[in-house]
Amino acid sequence: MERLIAIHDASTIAAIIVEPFAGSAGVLPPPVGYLQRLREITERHGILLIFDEVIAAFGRVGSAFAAQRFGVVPDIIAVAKGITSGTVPLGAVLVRDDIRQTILDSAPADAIEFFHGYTYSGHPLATAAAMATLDVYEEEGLFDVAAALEPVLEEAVHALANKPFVRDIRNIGLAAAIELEPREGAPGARATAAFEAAFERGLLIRTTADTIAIGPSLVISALEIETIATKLAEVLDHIE
Amino acid sequence: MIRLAERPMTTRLHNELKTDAYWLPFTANRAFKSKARLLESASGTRYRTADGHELLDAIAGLWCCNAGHCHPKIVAAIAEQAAKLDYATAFQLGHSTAFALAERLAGMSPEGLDAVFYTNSGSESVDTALKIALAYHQSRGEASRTRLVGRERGYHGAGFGGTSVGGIGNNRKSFGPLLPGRSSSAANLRSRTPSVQPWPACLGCASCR
Repeated sequence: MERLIAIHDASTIAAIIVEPFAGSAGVLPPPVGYLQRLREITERHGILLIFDEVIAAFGRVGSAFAAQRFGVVPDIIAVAKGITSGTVPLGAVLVRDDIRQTILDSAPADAIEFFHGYTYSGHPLATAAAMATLDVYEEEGLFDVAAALEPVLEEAVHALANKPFVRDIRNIGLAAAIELEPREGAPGARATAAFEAAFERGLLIRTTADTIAIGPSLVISALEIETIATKLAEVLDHIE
Repeated sequence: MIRLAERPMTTRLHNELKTDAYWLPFTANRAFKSKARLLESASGTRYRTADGHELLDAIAGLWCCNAGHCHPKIVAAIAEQAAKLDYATAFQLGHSTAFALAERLAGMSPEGLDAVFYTNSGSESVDTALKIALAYHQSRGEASRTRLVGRERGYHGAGFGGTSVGGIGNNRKSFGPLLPGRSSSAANLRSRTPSVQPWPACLGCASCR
């Protein structure tokens, strides 16, 4: 990162965006201290740090925001998904107040300050769904439930380490990935076979490239996590 | 030979369903349509398929249904709101729930992140965040700061901004030069579970790999 800044000069860089843990690429938790270093470097160079918490926020790693779990405060956080528990499309961007104020103050008092937004920004159905979803998270203590289930999921997925084709297993919070050896000349084919074999066994998983991703809802039980692992074991024994 | 009327209802429904028009996102469309998988209903951690099979949902829909599917309280809140105020533009107008939610999100978020801008998806949230970053630097007189940096293997949605800072090759390769001034720094993210095998503090730059 320092090298990148040296090449381009900090004065040309507006922002760095990062997922606190990479989700779509296959659950890649950050190295210990990585996000802290990123915070220090961006701050030193006047670069904004954006956390893409679309997957990570709302309990996925046992806290409302992943920033809280990792103890790093970015300048901007992008969220969606869990904000309404997927029921109605809604996203939100949380911004440092002085960043907003700077943009507001740069325009004449009665003028529109930021020419951006969407027809459905703050839609009544979406915001109502979000309010109810946050109630449920709070009333059922689901972020704590997720934190408590983290070791259960960790244990369950790492028990698959000696299964055929398993190259790597990673987990953080209620997210885990099982990376498989790709079939020669057919990247993604083995994971697709795993997806289909799981589906036939009554299990819905996600695959990207040759990685199986697991990220259940926070209302999952420890027993159901065991069921996921048992079915995955069958799948790995079954596929070629 | 079984006549149509003797087949189970769900099979008939499936066979009569036309699948030509719908172009599915991030899907192998040709393979999918030879064997369409259809979801019919959901509850808690379970889906039910159109042909009557139960699925244990190990991915919360797509990393989103964190409170479980069809939670009665959320369903009721949506139904109630739909009957009361179906739509309100956010341009020069507002409604109380949007303000209440923003206050609540600001209260839950890390200290200092107290302004809330609404979008409809993660992709739009990312594009909005990038635009805010650019507008901020311009507002404070540093308009030279236009470069947006993402990470290899990062995913930031499917908008042009998010695609531009994304680091997954397949998501970029069909779409030309994307945003100018975008750089990707080297992937830092290799390894295992932190609690099992802590990673070294490393920024993953080329010299560390």
